[in-house]
Amino acid sequence: MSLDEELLAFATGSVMLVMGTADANRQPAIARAVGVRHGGDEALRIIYSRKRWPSVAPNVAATGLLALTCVKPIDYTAYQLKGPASVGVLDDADRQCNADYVARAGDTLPVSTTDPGHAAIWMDSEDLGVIIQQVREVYIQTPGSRAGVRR
Amino acid sequence: MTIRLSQLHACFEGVIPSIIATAAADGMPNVSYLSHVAMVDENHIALSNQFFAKTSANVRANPKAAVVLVDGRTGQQFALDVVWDRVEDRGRLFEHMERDLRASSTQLGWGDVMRLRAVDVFRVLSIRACEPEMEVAQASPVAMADIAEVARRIGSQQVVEGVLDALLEGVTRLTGATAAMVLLPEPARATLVVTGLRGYADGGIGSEVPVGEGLIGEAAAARVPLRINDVTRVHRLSGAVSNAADSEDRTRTIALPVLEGGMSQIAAPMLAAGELRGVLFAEARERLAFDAERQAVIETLAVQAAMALTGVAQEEAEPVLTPIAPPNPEVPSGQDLVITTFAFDDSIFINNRYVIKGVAGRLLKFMLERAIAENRVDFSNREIRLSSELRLPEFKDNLEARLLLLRRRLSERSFGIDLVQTGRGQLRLHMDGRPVMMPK
Repeated sequence: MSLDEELLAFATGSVMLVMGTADANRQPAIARAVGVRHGGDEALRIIYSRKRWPSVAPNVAATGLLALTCVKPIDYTAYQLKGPASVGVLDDADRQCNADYVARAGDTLPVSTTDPGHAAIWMDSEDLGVIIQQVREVYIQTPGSRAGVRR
Repeated sequence: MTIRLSQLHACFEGVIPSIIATAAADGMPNVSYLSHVAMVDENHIALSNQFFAKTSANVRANPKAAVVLVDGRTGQQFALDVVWDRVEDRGRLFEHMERDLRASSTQLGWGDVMRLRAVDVFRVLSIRACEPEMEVAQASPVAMADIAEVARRIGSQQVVEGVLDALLEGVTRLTGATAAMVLLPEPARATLVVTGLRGYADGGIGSEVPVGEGLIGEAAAARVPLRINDVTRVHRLSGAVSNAADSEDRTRTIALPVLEGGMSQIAAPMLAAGELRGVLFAEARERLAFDAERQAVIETLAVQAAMALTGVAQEEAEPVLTPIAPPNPEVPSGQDLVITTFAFDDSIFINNRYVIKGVAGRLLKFMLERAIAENRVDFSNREIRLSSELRLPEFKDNLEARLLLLRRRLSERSFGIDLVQTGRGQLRLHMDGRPVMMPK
C-alpha cells in the first residue's frame, strides 16, 4: 500500500505542496497546492488556485498524470507522490480543508528562511479547483544519499 | 509586459528554493527543489545538479522543463518554460556554482551532502509572473560618479589607517551595508585579523578568522567574493565564539564583531597584483541587501583599497630618514602595569587581561621592554623595522598595518596603555603606571 497512515498524516500536515503536471506534448508545468485531504483508499484530493495555476486542469485532463511533492520546511523532510489523476469537483470539505491549511500555514509553514508575507502570497486561494490523485508510487526526496529512492 | 531574466536577480540568491518539473518519456511528471539557480545570460539559466538523478534522466529523454523562481525579497513567483541545452562538469560556470554551493553548504553544516556533480544549462522560452498584479521589485542603482569619488579618496590615502577608513566609509554609504570590517592577513599563522571596522557597537579589533573557515576564510582561500543573503539559514562563525569579554583572557580569542539582526553578508578578497592584501566583509539587516550590482561595487572598492595598501607598504619600505628617538625620561612611576608575555603564540597580557598575539603582540612586547630598559616612550617605525629580534614578516606584510591593529586594540579596551602616532613613522606609548615585565 503506497498511501499508508504515516504518509497520509505527513501529506495532510504542515507541509509545502507542489504539483507537477505536463501537457500532451510533454511540456511540464508547476503549481502550488493549498490543501490536501484523503479522498478514500489511496486517493488524495489536492486543492489549488485555478487563477494562479491555470495549466493544471487542462494538463491533467490531457495526460491523466500528476506528481505531488510534500516538503516539511523545518527539516526538509520531503516525499514525492506519483500516480494517475483526474480533475474533480470542488466540494465543501475541500473548501474547509483549504481554509484549515491556510490558517495553519500562517503559523507553521514560514520557517526562518521565509518572510511570513511570502507564504501568504503562495497561499492565494482564489478560484479553487481540485485534482484527485491515485497514489501509486512514493519517493523519498529529503536531501541526502537516499534522495530519489522509492519509499 | 515581457519580463527579462536580468530583472529577476533576486530569484538567483538561493534564499527561497526554486522548483523544476520535468516529464519522463511516458509523460509522468517529476518535481525537484533546487538549491542554486544561476543566470547565465538573458536567455539561459544554469541549475546545480546535486541529487536529482530523475530530473537529469528526464531532460535527456525529453528536454522540456518548467522552473518556478521566487523573488527572495517579495515572495513573488515566476514560471519559466525552459528547454535543456547542455551539461557542464568543468569550466568557469561550473566552478562558479561549485564555489557558491560549497560556501553555503559549509555554512549550513551540510558538508559534502551538496557536492556539485554537474551544471545543467537550460534555454528560457518564456517567463510568466504568477502574481501579475505585483510589480517586479527593482533595486536602485549605485551611481558611477559616487563609486569614482570613493575610489579616488581611497587612492589618495598615504597611510594604512586612511585607506581602511575610506574604504569602510565608502562601502557602508554606497551599498547600504549597516556594518563592515577589514581583515588583514597574518600569513605565518594562516589567519586574518580584524584591523578596521565600522558599525559594530562592541568593537572587535584583533579578532581572527582562520583562512578557509566560514564565509570570510573561504573568500580568502578561494580569492573570490562570497555572499549569503539570508544568514538565518546559516550557523554564524561568530556563534561559536563566546561574546563574554572575560573569555578573551581565558581563550586568547577576541570575539568576531556581530551585527545584531544581520541578514545579508558578503566577503570580498582584496587582491593586488595577484596577492591577497585582506578581506573586506560587509553585512546588512535586510535580506538580499547585496545584489549583483552592490557586489560589483564592493569588489571594485576592495581591489582599489588593496592597490592603495600595496602603495603604502612600498612607500614604507623605503628608508625613512627619521632619527632614532633619543631616550627620554617619560616612563611614569606609580601603580604597576603587570605585563605577561607568552612565547609560544606571542600573546601579551596587561594586568592579566588579554591584549593581542602574533606580530602585534611581539611589537608591544618590544616597545615595553625598551621603555623599561631605556626609560623612554618614543619609538620610530624605522628602529622597529630594523630590529631583528622582532622576526617581522617581509615588508609586504606591512608593519604599519600591525601597528595600526595594536593601536586600535589598545584604544578599544582601555588597558592602561595606549599607543599614539606623534608623526609620520613616530609612535609614543602612553602608560597609566609603571610597566613590569613577567615573561612566561
